[in-house]
Amino acid sequence: MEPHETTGPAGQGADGRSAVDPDADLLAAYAAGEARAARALLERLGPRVLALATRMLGDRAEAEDVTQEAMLRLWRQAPRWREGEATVSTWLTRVALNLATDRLRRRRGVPLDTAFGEGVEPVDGRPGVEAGLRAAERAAALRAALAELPERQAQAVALRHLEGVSNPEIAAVMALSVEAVESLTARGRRALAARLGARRGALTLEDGDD
Amino acid sequence: MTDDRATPVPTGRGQETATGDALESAFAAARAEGDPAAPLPAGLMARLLAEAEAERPLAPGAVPGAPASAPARAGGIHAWLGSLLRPARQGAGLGWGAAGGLAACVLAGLWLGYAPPPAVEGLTGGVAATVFGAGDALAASDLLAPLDGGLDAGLWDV
Repeated sequence: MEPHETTGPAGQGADGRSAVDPDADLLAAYAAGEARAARALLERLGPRVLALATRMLGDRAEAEDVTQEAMLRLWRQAPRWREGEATVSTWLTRVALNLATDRLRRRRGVPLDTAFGEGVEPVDGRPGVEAGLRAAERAAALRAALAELPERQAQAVALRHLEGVSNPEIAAVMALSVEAVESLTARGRRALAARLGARRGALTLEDGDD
Repeated sequence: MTDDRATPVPTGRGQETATGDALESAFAAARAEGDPAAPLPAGLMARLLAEAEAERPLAPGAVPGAPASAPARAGGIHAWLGSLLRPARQGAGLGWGAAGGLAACVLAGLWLGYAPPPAVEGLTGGVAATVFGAGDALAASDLLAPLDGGLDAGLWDV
């Protein structure tokens, strides 16, 4: 892999590997039976997993399910964990991303207002409430369009634009080259823009100006 | 929450710029629904901790339910019994249910030996008669007598 800039977590190299991965030390302690290591890992890694799933799914209950499943897989992986292949954070992001993508794509074919909560009427006319609803509708329309993208495009776009992850980090999570990630995100953006432009009223171009 | 690391909007004019703005607006709306800096909700944290505890491998030498600092006994009858009674899901143990069944079988065997029903007595007598023959010096009753005597003499006093 070619050298490139990174904005990854402290201690993590551009390729997602790390000579010093404190999460790997905690995971080894958990595998050795140390109960406190689990809480430390949850405090360090849990919020990011929950945020990723929430941003992708827009549903707190589903996001919590994804977080539980991802952490469960981490606990079961602990005795077999091999350092040097990926950081724990990168591995967990990959698992959570796959779980959330699977759920997102299962929504395809379900009516938008059922799957994404679109069409909710404002309970009062206050500008803040209306703006919040419009934002929720924009997010819901985005997720509906994201669900229709090819899986790898959707994942690269979600990491880049919903999580703000750097391309080298995305390359580590998705086991791709940085060039492939750049291509995926560019194509994904174009496909999203086309779908959102065609979607009835869910995303109006004027919203960006008010 | 907004994310400062949003992708730069592609440069362009007219429709392309407006579409890029709209897309950025949608990304920002979705990002605002999840905050990676917020601690996990207490309820979710409790569930996650419970699952982690259920999956946590045992520390070497640890006995389930015992304090973590209790020294493990190496070898001996206690260790053997402990390994038998360890819940089956945690290793090669039998669990209390299986151990209870084993104990019941032992007691039933002892009772049958001490006070065999007539059918069993007839069977053992018949087998002995067949093996040794009617004229053999060792009668079935002679073979069984020491055991009966042992039981009578004090096996139950142990």
